[in-house]
Amino acid sequence: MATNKENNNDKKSRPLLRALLIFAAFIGAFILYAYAIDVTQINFTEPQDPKRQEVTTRVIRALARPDFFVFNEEKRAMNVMIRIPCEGEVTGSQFALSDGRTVTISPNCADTTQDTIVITGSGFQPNTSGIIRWYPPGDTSATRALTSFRTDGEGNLNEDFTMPDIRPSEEPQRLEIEEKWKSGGFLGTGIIGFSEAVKITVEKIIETVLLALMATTVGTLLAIPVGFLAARNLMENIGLPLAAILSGVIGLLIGFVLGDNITKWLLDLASTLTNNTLTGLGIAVVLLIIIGAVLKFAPAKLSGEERSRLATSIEWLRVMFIIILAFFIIAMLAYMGIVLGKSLEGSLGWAAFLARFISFLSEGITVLSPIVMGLLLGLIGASLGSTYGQEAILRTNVTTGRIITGIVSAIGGAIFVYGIGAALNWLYQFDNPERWTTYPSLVAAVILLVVGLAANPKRQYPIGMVIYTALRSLLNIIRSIEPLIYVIVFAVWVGIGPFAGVLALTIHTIAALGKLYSEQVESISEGPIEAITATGASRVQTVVYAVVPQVVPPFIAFTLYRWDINVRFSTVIGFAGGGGIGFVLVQNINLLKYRQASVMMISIAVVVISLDYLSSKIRKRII
Amino acid sequence: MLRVKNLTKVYEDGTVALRNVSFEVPDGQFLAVVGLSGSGKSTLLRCINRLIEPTEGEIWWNDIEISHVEGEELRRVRRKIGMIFQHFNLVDRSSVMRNVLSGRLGYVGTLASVLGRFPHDDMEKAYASLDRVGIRDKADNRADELSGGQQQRVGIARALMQDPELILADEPVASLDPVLAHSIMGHLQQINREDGITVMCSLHFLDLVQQYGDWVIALNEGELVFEGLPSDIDDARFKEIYGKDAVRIG
Repeated sequence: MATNKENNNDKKSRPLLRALLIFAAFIGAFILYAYAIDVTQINFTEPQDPKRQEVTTRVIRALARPDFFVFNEEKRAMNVMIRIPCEGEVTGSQFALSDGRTVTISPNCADTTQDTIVITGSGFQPNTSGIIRWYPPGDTSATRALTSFRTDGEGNLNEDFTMPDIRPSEEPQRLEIEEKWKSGGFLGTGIIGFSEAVKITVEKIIETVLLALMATTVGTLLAIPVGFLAARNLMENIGLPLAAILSGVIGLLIGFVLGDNITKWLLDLASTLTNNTLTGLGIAVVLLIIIGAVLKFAPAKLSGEERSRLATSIEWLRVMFIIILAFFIIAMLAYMGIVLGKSLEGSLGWAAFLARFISFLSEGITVLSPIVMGLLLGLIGASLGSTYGQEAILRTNVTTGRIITGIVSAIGGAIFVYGIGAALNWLYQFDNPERWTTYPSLVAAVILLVVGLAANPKRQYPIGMVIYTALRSLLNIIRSIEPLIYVIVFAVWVGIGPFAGVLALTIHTIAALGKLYSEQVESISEGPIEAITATGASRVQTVVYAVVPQVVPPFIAFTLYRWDINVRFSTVIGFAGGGGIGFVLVQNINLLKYRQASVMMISIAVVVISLDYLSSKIRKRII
Repeated sequence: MLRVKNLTKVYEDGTVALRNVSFEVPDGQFLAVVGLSGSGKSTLLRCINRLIEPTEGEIWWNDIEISHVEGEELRRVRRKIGMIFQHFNLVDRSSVMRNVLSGRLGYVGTLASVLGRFPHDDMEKAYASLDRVGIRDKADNRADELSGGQQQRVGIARALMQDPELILADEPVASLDPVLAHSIMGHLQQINREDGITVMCSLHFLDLVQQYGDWVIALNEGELVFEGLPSDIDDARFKEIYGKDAVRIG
């Protein structure tokens, strides 16, 4: 009964409470919006200011008349005389030419400034605009436009204007009545070609679309591995013993250093050998023959239930040998390519960009390969390290396991902490770097040695979730900063221009696509993963056979969608120095060339809308 | 020989899926596992090939305790245990051939398989397996173009690729109509009799159990409530397994 009563009380008090809550919400909203309007300076005064309205009207009217074409214009001028001031001989107020143009000026003199003059005439081109100019006596260069006019359907002119403050003279002063009209050209419209603005727009809009393409391509390539590593369903079950994790760290370091150094050494050697192009080509051919021979006479054993350790090692050596030789050939070709590209560039004419591309690729290989090979070997090292670390722990008894764990953890932990310390030191340039690198890594080594010896060596640590969480957080941070901000940083590094834009968009694309991809991986059907795992497949095999086929179509769809977004971004990224159409658009706006700016805005709209349409069509087809 | 001793599985949310389950499966037996939905059949099968980690207990297989093996050793165990699923679990967008070949992944090197290069022998074997289940002509079709019965046969072919000593079949015919069900069960029986592969198969319908099973174990709420010959399941036993309100329909 007691509870019933309480319930009743609750029900009774509720309407009042609700009313109070609603009232409070209203007050809160009132205060919020009042403050928001104040802060954002929304007001009615500025928009009603006549001066601002006039300027705005001018801008809008200019925007409405995009500068698309160059016209063929014909001109015809007629001179009349006027006296300023009204002194001396009157020159007559009627003027006529043999082609039928007549003009009357009333009055035909202006005594003071600000006098109104009326000019009437006939025999002009019908419906034609023109300008009336004043020429000072004796000086034909210093003209001044007095007014513009438009003739009626019969070619009559009737225009009054106020005489501005003009230098008086004893001589009669000349007024020029000039008509301008379009004739000839395309279908009689007078159009004889596209304006300079159109030419720049076409060039820059292509740059914009290609900028987006580059950013999307590179971003996609890098986002794919990120997408898998940031997928919870793939990562959450990955647990490894401490020894495996930290031997992975050791393997990463050794692999990176090895890859980096071997590659640099191979590059040096390749560079020396290709000093003479002919020798270089000869060596490359010989190496190719060797690779062919190795492939032919020592065919790979792919399977087999029992394969001895020796056979496996030989197989590995063979693969390594071929990879190194192949890379060496590529390196030699790269050094020759740099020379080739430079020599071709002069002779290819408009296709010189192809020669520059050869140089670019070759230079790319020589510059990037140490890092890429370092990372690759680092990853292989990490994978081998963790595998053998795990196997070592699983195959040995607990005591040996403890000792292995202790030693490996101490070394791996020290390397890890030293790496973080070194990175911090690079960033902040500490006075005593060893306080941030050596000492902490020694401390970490001791702690991990103790932990490794004390803890159960077979205990699994959720390294998968650690990587997942770290990667997800990083993606969220990178994604929350707009490309417009990145472009400012990159413009400092590589200069203002489309390259900075490409880098900025690439960074953002990696983060955005990485997240989309990982969510896609998380939403796949688990059945095939279960089935492939049950066959005894390794993790990599499971991903390749059960996950990849499921995510290919959505990945392609997301990539197209991202290209769409990148085109949109790249139209504005030029505002901050990222090249593309935005760069010239903002220039034109700053120079008050609104008719030219209008052309660019229209082109952006056209490109964005058509790409939007195109990509949605393709996406529909794929899914 | 598979020996399960005191197997217990408690999920993270506290659900007890298996409670102290013990039984033995001699080599070459066709073992039927029965019980209501949620009685722990799927969990039991998945504990054996470690798709699910058992909480307690031992699983002895060929005199190795496999409930705690890890890494390379676990892969070696798994590749000798084929599995067939209620929803087939094929990769829909891959070809039938690729689905069948994926049964070989436990034997093929990682690099070669990632590049899609399988040894010639494995290709032959895949065709032979497809032949055996009667859908060799579908090798190049996409898996999702096949009917349910055909998809399950691909699943069987995939399991055969593993050269298994044991096949775990998790309600292999629950998504198929009765005619197809008998066809699929026939394939399993054939594999069991001709190749001597042990089959452990969870089933819903008692007539299937009685037609194909050599031996039956029954689970109810995670506990082993019956073990014996299929013919021993009379009405009283039936009510023990499925509850008092159950009515036999098949």
